Amino acid sequence: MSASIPAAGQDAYRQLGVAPLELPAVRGGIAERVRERWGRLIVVAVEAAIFLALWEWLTIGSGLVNPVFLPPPSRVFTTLIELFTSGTIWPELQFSATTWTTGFGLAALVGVTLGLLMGAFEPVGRLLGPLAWSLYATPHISIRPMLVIWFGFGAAPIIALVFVSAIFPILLTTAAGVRTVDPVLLRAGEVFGGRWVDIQRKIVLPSTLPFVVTGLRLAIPTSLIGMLVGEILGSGQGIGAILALGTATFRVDQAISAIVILVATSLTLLRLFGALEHRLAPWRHGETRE
Amino acid sequence: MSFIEIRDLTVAYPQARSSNRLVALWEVNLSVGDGEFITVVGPSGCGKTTLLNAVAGLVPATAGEVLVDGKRVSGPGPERAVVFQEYALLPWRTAWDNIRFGLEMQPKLRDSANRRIREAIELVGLNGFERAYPRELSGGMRQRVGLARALVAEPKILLMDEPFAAVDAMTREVMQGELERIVAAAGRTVIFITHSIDEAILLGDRVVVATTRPGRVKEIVRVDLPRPRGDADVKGNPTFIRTREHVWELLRDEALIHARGEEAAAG
Repeated sequence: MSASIPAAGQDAYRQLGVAPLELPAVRGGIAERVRERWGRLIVVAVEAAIFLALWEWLTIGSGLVNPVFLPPPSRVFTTLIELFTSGTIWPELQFSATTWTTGFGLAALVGVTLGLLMGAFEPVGRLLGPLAWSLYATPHISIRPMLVIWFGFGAAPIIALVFVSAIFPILLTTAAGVRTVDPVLLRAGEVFGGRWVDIQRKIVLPSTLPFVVTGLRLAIPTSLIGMLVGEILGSGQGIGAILALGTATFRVDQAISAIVILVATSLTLLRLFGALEHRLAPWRHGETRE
Repeated sequence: MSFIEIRDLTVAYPQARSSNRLVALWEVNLSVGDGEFITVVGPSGCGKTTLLNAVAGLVPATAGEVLVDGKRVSGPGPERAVVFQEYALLPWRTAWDNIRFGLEMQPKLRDSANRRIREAIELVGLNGFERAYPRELSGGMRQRVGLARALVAEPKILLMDEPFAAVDAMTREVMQGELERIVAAAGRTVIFITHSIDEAILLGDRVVVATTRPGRVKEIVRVDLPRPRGDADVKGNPTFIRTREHVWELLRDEALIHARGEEAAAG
């Protein structure tokens, strides 16, 4: 294989009208994409402004709603600032962050491992699949009271609840990812001398990775619900406790502040994992030449 | 004995929801000489791909056997490489790393890997595209990567499963010419599956005409055309036209049988 005829190759490029270094990967110009992005942001901003104005008017302007039951957004905003500046929220935030991270991290570890095993070994999939689906379909909140019996009070039952509400989307998506590896890639792996281990490492794992991230992204809202329920129902700590306490003491502004923090956290995490997903598997997002 | 010997090869697949087995190939016999370019043409669903997979060692023989260089095929081996119709490139790897895949599971080639990849890139005309990902390449360029990956470990046999079926007509003609040049330069034995009669005659030393399912060898047609044939005039050559007509007649009967079968199945 020593013959070098790059000239013929160059001819082919010319015939095809493609220059060797021309690699347009992204559809549309940068300017177009920036404009599109700003356009979307403006729509969201206007929407939010109208919503907040209406809310403010309902409570303060018109007097239709008693601000004790539903404080105006301006009040929520000052309460939010106050919570941060006075420092009362920090220990609660820290508690929530630690319990969520621990539960989610454990769920990711166990979920990805089991998911890979379920996908790679059919008997394991058959054994654990139906069980995983049944548990996934169970409302996880229902086990909250029992968790107190098993784990007592404090962080442990909440970590358990976060774990349970996060693991199934991770596990099931990972297993599905392993099973949906393009069969022609597996055949190519065999043809070029790949043993089972090589094929798992070089083909199955890389093509499953984006599914793993999808699973993690799906588990974010469910695990945050798990955390919140855990905290509201008798923990006395965390962001959920602020919510519960605020409502119980007619400090609805505090409760809503807690919700605002949760929404912001959830959206940020989703964004983060969405970007990671895109980064890991650009070929799954339609950036193609044909 | 010939380089590749296919003896009474029968391949049957188990079918879902049925105890009957689907017979894809029925007692196929074929001898391929060293350095020969064999094209296989036949109606769709005639088991062409199964034949290729059996030689590649991806599908076990139900009966009969495939011998390569006197040794019975029981699985894939480094002396045989496949070019897939769907390219089968790893989307997370660049062109260079996809080509590397063709030799990285062979420890013996580790030291010479970079040189070999470089040579394969030169040979198929991928200069300047080494760092491109498959999604950034046109169909024709992707198949060049597939071809380079198959050639990089210098296999004796190149198995090609309708490699140009998914590229446009223009690119296809360019690629056919390139393939003839590459195979001549590298001196490989080739089994090339296609459903295009022109392509089969243009590329093959001999054309194997297959029957409709179950696939059998209907006739083997020798192509007496000088090489290289990559230029446009060859299709006006009387020998080309005569061979084309002959293969077409063989296939027409099969196509009719196949169409009737489909109608019966649909009705």
